[in-house]
Amino acid sequence: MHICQYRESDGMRTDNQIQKKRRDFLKTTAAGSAVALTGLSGCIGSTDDDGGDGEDGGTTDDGTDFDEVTLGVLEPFTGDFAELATERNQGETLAIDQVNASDEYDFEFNVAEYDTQLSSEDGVQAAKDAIESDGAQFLTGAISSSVALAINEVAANQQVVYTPGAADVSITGSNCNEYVFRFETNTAQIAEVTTQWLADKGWTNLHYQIADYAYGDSVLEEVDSRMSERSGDYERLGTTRSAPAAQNFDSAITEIEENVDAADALVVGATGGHLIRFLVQAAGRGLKEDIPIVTTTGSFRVVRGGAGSAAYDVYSGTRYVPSIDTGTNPQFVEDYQAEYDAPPDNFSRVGYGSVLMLANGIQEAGSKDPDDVRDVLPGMTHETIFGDVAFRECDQQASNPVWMGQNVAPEEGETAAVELLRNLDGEAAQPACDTTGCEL
Amino acid sequence: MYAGTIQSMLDVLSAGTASFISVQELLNGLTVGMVYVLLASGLSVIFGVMHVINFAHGELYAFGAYFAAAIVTPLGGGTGFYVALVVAPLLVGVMGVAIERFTVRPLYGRDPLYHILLTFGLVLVLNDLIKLIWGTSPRRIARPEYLTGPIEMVGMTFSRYSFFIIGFGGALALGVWALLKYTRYGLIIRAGAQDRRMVRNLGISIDRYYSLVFGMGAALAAVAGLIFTAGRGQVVPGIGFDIIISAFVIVVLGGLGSFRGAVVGGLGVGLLQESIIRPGVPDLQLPLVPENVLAPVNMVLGLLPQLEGMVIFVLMIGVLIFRPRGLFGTEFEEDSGELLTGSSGGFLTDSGRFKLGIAMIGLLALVPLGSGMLPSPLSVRLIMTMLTWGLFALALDFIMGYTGLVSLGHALFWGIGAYVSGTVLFNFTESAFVAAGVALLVGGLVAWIVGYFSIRVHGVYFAMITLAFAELFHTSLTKIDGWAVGFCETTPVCSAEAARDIQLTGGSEGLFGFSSYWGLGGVGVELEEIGIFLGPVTLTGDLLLYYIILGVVVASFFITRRMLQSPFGAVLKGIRENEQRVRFLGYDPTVYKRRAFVVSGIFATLAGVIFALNESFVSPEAAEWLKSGEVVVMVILGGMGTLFGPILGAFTFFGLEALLQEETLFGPFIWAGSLVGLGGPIEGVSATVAERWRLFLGSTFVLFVVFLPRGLVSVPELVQQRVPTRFDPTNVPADPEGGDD
Amino acid sequence: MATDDPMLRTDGLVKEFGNFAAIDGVDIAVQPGEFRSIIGPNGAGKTTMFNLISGGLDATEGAVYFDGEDVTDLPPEERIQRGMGRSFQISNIFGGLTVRENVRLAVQSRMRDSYSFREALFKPTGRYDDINDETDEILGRIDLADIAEEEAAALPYGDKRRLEIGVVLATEPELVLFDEPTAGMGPEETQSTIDLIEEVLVEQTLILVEHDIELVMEISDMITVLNHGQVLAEGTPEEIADNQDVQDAYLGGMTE
Repeated sequence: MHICQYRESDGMRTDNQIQKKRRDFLKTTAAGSAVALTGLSGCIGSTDDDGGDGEDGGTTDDGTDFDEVTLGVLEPFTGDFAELATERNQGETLAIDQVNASDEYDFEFNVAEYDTQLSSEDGVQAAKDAIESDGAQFLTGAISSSVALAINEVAANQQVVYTPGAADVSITGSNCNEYVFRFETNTAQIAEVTTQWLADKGWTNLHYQIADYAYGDSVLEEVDSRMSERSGDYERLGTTRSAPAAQNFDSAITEIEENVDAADALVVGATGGHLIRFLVQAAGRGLKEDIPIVTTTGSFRVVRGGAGSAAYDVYSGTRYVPSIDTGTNPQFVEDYQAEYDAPPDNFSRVGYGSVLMLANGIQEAGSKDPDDVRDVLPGMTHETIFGDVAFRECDQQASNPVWMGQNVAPEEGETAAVELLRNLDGEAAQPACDTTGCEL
Repeated sequence: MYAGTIQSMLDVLSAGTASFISVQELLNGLTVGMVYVLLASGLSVIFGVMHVINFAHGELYAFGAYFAAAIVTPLGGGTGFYVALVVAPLLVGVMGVAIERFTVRPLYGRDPLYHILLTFGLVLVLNDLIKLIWGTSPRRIARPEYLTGPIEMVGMTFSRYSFFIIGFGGALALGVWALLKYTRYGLIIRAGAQDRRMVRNLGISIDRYYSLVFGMGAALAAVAGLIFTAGRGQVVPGIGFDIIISAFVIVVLGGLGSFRGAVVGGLGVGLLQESIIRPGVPDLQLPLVPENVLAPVNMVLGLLPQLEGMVIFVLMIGVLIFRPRGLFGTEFEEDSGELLTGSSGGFLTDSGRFKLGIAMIGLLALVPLGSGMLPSPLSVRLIMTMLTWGLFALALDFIMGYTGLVSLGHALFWGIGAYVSGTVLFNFTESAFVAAGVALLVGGLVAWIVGYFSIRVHGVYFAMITLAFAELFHTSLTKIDGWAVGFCETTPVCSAEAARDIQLTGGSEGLFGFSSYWGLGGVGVELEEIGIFLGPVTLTGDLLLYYIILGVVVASFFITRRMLQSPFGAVLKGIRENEQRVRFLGYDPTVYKRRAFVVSGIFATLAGVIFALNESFVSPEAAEWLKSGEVVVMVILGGMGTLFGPILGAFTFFGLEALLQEETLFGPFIWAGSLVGLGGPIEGVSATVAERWRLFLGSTFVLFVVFLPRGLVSVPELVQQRVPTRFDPTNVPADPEGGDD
Repeated sequence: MATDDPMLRTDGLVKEFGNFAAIDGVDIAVQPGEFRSIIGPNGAGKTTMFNLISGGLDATEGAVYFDGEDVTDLPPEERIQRGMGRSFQISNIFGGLTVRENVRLAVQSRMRDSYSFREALFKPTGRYDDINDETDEILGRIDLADIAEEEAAALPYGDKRRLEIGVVLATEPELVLFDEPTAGMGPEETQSTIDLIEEVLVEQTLILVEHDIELVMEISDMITVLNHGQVLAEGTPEEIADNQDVQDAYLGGMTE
């Protein structure tokens, strides 16, 4: 037995040195060991894989070819985001079926599904299991920003391409890495349209109600910084925070009420069940009558459905509504409706679009090696439901258009309808490359 | 209506409290407080009468909400709501009776700690049952029109529904109080809560009342779940989990077993959380008292909002230390039922067991070499998880199996191990040795402090105080970074800028993306950078880590085993056998228990360190109470007081989890079923099993607690008993009780 | 220690449970080397008295002096460390341990201060020569060497009592408190147990609580009779036998 050490330098290392990736090591030793260590009995470098199958150090070809690509689908099927997860999963499944049935793609997707729940621990576990047990080369999923951030890191370490479904800015900002590509519209883009609209309305005195985790903080930061730039009159009157799993908002609402007279609007940075519970309780306390409520996810059908009449009149930065007629959206809505007997919503289109864009990248690269796909995706233009969209090279964030909308009482049923108030195209909504904090 | 009366009441209230807390804040506190009262009173009375700490109480609360949602949805929010208000608690009451009859009853006479274990298993079962029946999507409980929306009074806007909760909850609590006070049943129950033996001596079979009490407690929890979630807008499967810890805090504060305590505790905690801590209170200004005297008080008051969620645990710890019986509880006689520790090994001789152990270690050492060929559920990663948890369970066993102290707060040490090593790796140095060293030091220190306060209380109180310490740590995790910045802003010791750059805990996201090398002072290797080439297999990265973990676990096993053979261990075994007698040999058991707790804490910390090194990631879930419960489950599953049993328990726990999730496992059944035309249904069932594996894991665990309390390690002995080849003198019952009169 | 100090002295000892005084102002003094028995009808407070002396209960009032020192506020383990030993009414040994381990645990308690931290934590007990030698010696004296490796719970009743005595002996007490050591024994076993006590504990001061009046009369140097928590009489066996109060109390107690 020999310990074969790979080291260019003198064997010393310094802290914070960028970690050498394992696969690089394996590749290098595979080539180098044959020369340097010829004749040393146990020291055989045989780690050349054909691209990204299991990372279990040194297992050789697992027998799969380019025609089978394994995709790890990691969604929070249980917990506050369960309905969003189902929605997203339906979009993903539709896309996967279309790719597998289509002649345009020379490969088929194998799917490994995992439940991340709402926990980063489970999310990381799921991602690693998908990569190591199922040999996934590509990951998609996660709705909670905290979970997505944790999976980001797994993707970078294990060198698999990941398309997250969460909106926190730092995912393609300060925590970006070259394996992460996001079709979901991020909070910065939503904040751009929301703050333009707020400033135009002259609503510059704001109170914030924030879900106390990555996404809520992201909303606070993006809206707050943009409002300060946009308007000299801007004032942040107060901020209340509630735990992500908070059930009871009574005391938060009481605090908000203290600012109701001075504030022009209440900005809520939350999503899913948290937002639903807040809206229901706010309605119960009559908050809606006292102050306009501006949300960043209130247009989600899950939120509108869950909150019922409590969602009426609420404003929302809007990432998607099925009624738009851009790109392939009409076809998508038709296919989705046919498959699931319900219209798609934001997360359906994120799941759908993420998978298709991945598939395009794999097809273009002609390889299922995540490294190859990673190289072709940046800047590549895709025909999507929003028309032509690309992952921008500097941060690998999709250049999606955004809208400002308001929930209005429906003509029938209880679930509010969304009325679009303003549109901002993809280029305009994106922050400048040098401000994202992403260094690739 | 009575708007006029209410209005004048509010006037009085607002006049009296305006200076300190507002009417609205008071109302917020009372609303939540009343829900707590309903939830906690059942829990407390169940404890008082049966000495059962019912972790499943939160799930019964959730069931109340789900039954209600199922009733209201078809019937509508008008009549449906009232039907649900009657029917849902009845259904849950029946569930409570059934739970008492079939699972709790067989355990009377055993140590009350077995009830904790049992009801923890029931949590897993009931929680998954909810998901199985109603799915994971949120549900709603519609309310009658006039119970929704705001109401204007004294120039303020209130929620109508809050008045309903306070009124209805209050009336119900009053009814229960009257029942306990004025009926014969109530008299017996109250007497039973005071002294069961006395009631039995009076010729009353108190046992018959157990089902009734359990059922009533369950029904009250159901009402709490129903009325609260209806107003909060959503019913989700996790609501029981989220509220049960608060319920325990209340029961402890009010006094275990006291209805009055639950009422005062519930309202008190509700008001404290919602009316005082959360909104904060204005500075106190008292006439005649100079301002500089009040300044420190006001400073503490000013800090309160930052300590949201933590204050109640501090209170709980304080009460347990200084007044374990709480505000209104009576000192309850400690049931010193038998703690069933592992067995003598049955047909396996010592050397046989030793060889078996060596063989297992050998097998485990071979796993990575064949990692490509293993069936998918048995991945290297899975075994690394098993080993890490095996170490965690072994650590717990050292205190639980050898001194009989059941810690429900061992997640504290796992969390410290993971977080301290994570923080060191993330911020200061990437040396795994330094990170582990610092973590173990902190873990040992914390164990000593926690042990110092906890060891003096016994049994259930010990379980509760350790739980409180762990929750205190857990809730502080998201706040520590903020405190560090705040501290550096106010003092010149450190710069706020530097504090902002450092992430000690990383808030609710935790810390991720740290890497490590194995060495000191910058000299060492990264596992990814070295490889050991063995024939066709290359060992590097995780596979090398696998061997490190295996080595650490095996070494920990031998170290702890060695400790138990030492004089120190001999005393621990003596304490396990007969604590009182140990004192009369001249040993102070408290000292030895505390030392054992520190040892246990250090090894549990080590498990947390391994977790962080393995995952390169740590989040607040590392310290949540579920982890403490799960590790207790593993210890019992394997057999406590054996050291290797708990490791076996961890392997079984995760093995079962992986197996149940593996649908290929059911292939043969589906195939066999398809022959007789039942392939479809069997496939459906197997998919359900795979998805709801916790249900089956929990059921397995419940069966273990009831039928195999000595754990897996006792199986050989049981087998031997079934095959009576020779007379076994160890079967003669021991006589551990030393009474002196 | 002044030589004229009694081995054990209690001073106005009171123990109340609620409003009931189980021990109500008891003064006794036991001289070194004495064999003292405490007798009394059921409920007279014998066991409570025992617990007060050994530290099993805290006194409500009064004081306990051991070897001239006030030990009233000390927990049991510290009284044991100062040289008290106590055996229990029902065998109170470590059932799950072997006979040898039982004795060894007691021997070890005396020596533990002499080991280093590392030794005490990691060196297996079986490798301490001093402990093992003493353990063997005591096993020999109580005649259980043959069955030293048996689990204590599996021993016959008489052997359990012997082991109990051996465990007390192993702590090398100056004063030994015996709580009905022959309860539940036949005449033969009783005799051999008493023989054993007299044989191995001949040097020590002994206090015995006992029901069997005849036995007490036979073996005691001095007898204290308790009734209703108070000392009814005290004296040599002969004096006690002649005491009218004692006879009345016993007769009264028995006919009640």
